[in-house]
Amino acid sequence: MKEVIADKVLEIVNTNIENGFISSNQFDADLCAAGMDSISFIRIIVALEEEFDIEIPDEKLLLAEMNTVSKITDVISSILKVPYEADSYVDE
Amino acid sequence: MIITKTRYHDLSEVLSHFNMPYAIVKGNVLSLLAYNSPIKRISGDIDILLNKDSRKEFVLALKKCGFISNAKNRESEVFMYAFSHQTPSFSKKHNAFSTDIDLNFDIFWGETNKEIDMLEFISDCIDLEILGYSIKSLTPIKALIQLILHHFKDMNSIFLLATRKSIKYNMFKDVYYLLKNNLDKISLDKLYGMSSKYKIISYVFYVLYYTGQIFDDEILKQYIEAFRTPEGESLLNCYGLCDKERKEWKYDFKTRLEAENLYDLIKDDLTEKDKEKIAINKRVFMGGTE
Repeated sequence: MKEVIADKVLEIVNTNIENGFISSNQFDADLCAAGMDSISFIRIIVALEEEFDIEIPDEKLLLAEMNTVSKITDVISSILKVPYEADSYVDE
Repeated sequence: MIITKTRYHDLSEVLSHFNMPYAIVKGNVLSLLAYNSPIKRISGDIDILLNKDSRKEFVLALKKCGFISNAKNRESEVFMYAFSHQTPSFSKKHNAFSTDIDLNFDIFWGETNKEIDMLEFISDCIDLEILGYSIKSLTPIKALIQLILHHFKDMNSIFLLATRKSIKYNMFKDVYYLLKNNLDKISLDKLYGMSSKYKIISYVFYVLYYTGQIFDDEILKQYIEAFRTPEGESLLNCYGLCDKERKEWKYDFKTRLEAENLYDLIKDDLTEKDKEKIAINKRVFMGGTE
């Protein structure tokens, strides 16, 4: 479930950042360094809230709290109460 | 006077449901501190300075007392929370007027990387009475600092310069009389010490310098010279709230002060990014279209 959220976050981020691109192995990359500014941040937040039908709490509406795909995914997952998923492992 | 009294009655009601530190700034409080009368200056709203952690509780208190948010849309709210150090203002309607309360969580602006410990800044607030209502306010020296930073923002914000007459004689009059009528509490040493602590020497120089362009006062001159630095001097003929946005004025201070439409003085300097920022700010703060 969290992977699905992350993929959708990535899609929304890449749609709204001009002149920048985040790949699927850059979930911890700084979005500001990739080109996210105040205007694209607002567009991303509004798009995320519409996509997931949520309202992101005020205290999370800070660049520092939402400046990577991972952080955004964690915030949305906690709002949606997605249970923690252990990393997959190989049972040897 | 009856409208102001009603507004402070409304504010009192809200404050009776709120138990965290705050300071009422500008408006009638500034009028009292600068001119010894709470109604010397006309003010349309009430500004409150709070620590960010108090926001939820204060908003609850506002709603409990019949105030509603003035946020125009979700985009506006997000912008305000994330970048403007404000939340949407709240209003309580009466028949012919409303009580408007603006919540502020910082004395700096969104474009700066300067930070302040707001709890510390409002920790030594004083009790004042406005038309029979007790409220808490900043000390005169901190009120001057807050006013100076507010005026620096007004004189340099590209959005404010583009959308309103944000350089006005009364701004400098307020600074002058707040200082002049509180010299016992705003000594040069104290003001310099506090400005150093908050790392705002150049901003204080900037606003005092321009106040000195209007008010010829020997004591003010001493303050200006004490605060003069190369960094402060480099800001004098520029506008813009950060290095990325900073541009040189093509017009002298007298022209800027007397201009009815400051946008005419800056429009040829604006980049596409500036124009986009102005448009989004307009939508957020003025409900205009992009």
